[in-house]
Amino acid sequence: MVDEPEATGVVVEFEHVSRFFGEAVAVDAVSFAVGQGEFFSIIGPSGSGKTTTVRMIAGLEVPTDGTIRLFGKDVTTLAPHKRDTPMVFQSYALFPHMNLRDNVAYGLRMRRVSKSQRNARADELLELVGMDGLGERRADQLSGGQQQRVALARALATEPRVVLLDEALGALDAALRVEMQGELKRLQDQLGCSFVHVTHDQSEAIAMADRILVLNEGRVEQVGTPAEVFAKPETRFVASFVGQNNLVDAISHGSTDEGLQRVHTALGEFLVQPPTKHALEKGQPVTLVLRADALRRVTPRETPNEFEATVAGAQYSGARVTLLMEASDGTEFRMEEHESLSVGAPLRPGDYLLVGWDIGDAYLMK
Amino acid sequence: MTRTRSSIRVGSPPARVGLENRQAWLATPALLWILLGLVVPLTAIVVFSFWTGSSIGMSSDLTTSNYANILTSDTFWGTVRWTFRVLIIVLLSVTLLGLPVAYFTARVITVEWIRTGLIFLLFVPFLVSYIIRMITWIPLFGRAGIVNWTLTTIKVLDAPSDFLLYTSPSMITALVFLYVAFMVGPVYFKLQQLDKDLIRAAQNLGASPLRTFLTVELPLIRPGIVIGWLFVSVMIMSDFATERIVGGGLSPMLAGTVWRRAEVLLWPQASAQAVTLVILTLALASGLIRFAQLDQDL
Repeated sequence: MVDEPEATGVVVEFEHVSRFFGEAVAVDAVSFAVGQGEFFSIIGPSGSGKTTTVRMIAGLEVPTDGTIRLFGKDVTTLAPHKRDTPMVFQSYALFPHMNLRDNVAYGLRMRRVSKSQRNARADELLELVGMDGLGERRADQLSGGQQQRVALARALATEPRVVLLDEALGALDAALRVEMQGELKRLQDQLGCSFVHVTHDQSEAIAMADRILVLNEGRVEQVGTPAEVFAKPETRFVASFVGQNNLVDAISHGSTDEGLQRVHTALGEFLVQPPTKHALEKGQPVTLVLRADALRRVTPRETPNEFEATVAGAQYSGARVTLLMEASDGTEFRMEEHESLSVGAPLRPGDYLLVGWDIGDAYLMK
Repeated sequence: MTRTRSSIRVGSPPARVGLENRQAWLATPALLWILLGLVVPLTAIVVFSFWTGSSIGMSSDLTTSNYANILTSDTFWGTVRWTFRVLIIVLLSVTLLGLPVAYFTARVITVEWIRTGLIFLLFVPFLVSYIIRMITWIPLFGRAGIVNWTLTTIKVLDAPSDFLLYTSPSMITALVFLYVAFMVGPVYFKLQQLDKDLIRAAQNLGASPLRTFLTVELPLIRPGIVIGWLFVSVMIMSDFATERIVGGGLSPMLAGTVWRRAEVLLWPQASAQAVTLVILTLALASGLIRFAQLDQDL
């Protein structure tokens, strides 16, 4: 919506697509377009409709309403086997009664490619994903990561112009997932096909996507590059779903001479950059978005934006620590800092800190 | 408690053996039961089959003549051929009838309690005794039965036909209806187990519904089909009543032949035939298992 895919051609296009299951709405008037060679991630919590969306691209679900186009052709009700939209599943879904070569060659077999040709191609693909020489093995003799490589090779065998990944890396452990993310990007650069990738894991989307679509309760919350989605969430939902953002209710309270926006919150009065798109009226309710890593310990009057808070707890992850804080009015928020700041003077629950942020590090959202 | 927990942990073989031994005791009542109910009578039959029969009973003089008589009898081999022919026809029929039923129930019906209900319905006839189920064929297909009455009334037939009852086609029909449920059951459960993502993956890679069935679903439900065949085969091999009640005893099957010998107290002959029947059934079953590589799939 913010930026259209590059003019090289639209691969997948959704136009007001909805899918109802009885009374329940899984996907609600969703529109988006995926460009040629683009890595497009759909993220959202479970139940947000992301799996239904990707299944509709493949034809495994039929929309209740709206139009789906593949390469400009209306495929809304086309049977799945008549589209060329192979999918990689979270469960891998390798055929247990076939060896790996036959698994990879399955798509070619369905296209009636001769046995010798399709076997040669399957071996080529197994080599591409680093599984050369294992064609005779069966799926149950492989680790999860290996199975996922084979599933990917199988999806790529027919040289599709778009590959669907449904939580494809979800079943892998963290280290393997990062390795496969790199592998996927390498393959995409090499083959030039588009990927539509569904995940609940935002870090996976940042790592791989050219653009991200955020879904919530079947509706599009935001589409944009990872930088846009993470730095400038457009809705409260996106702000709370991606990254670690603190959302503070605020009331606009006029501007300063320097053109800064003055806002009232339960934590005190703060100065923020005014929203670029639309001027705020005095007394208008807005949301102040404070990234957890923008908050820091400050000395008094170092910045115009400061308030007192008590430490409630801490979560360590590597060199970063997320402090759970409580402001004087009881508002809870998160602050992320480098672990070394606490060395020598470890924080205890109940400790007071003066917390603040630089003017440019927070922004307002309607 | 601690011991149990540690013995479950993978990678501690001695403790695990201990646990398995303790669990093995759970099988003891069943083993005793099998010993008493299966091994003892079977041994008796094997022993009797080598005894000498006479008009007043049998004596324990050992002889192989019971087997010699059977194995050189054209009538016996004729019965064997006929039994296997009936078996193959019935297996084909229950497969062709049962697969679509199982498939429909597992795939088309999406509401779970309706699915379970349909499978239950399949076994409802078994709540009624075998005799009642079979006797009802007579008012239905007998000379004065409903079908004959209808056909003569609407003048399709001039006179009631005997073809419907006491013939081999009617016997085969009866056997199919009796045992088709044992085909549907295993296939249905296998279809239920099948990971739906595999079907999605196949369609996704360009397989039409028919080719998805032939290349993915059919190979994966094969163990269910073979288990169905095993159930049906074993039951048909031991069914001695249907050929009498519906078939009128005019198309004798192996199990019925054993029954007729036993009826006239020819114990050694009956035993020898029974042993032959058991061997043939075992050969058939192992052949089926081998054919389906069932030992690898289970």
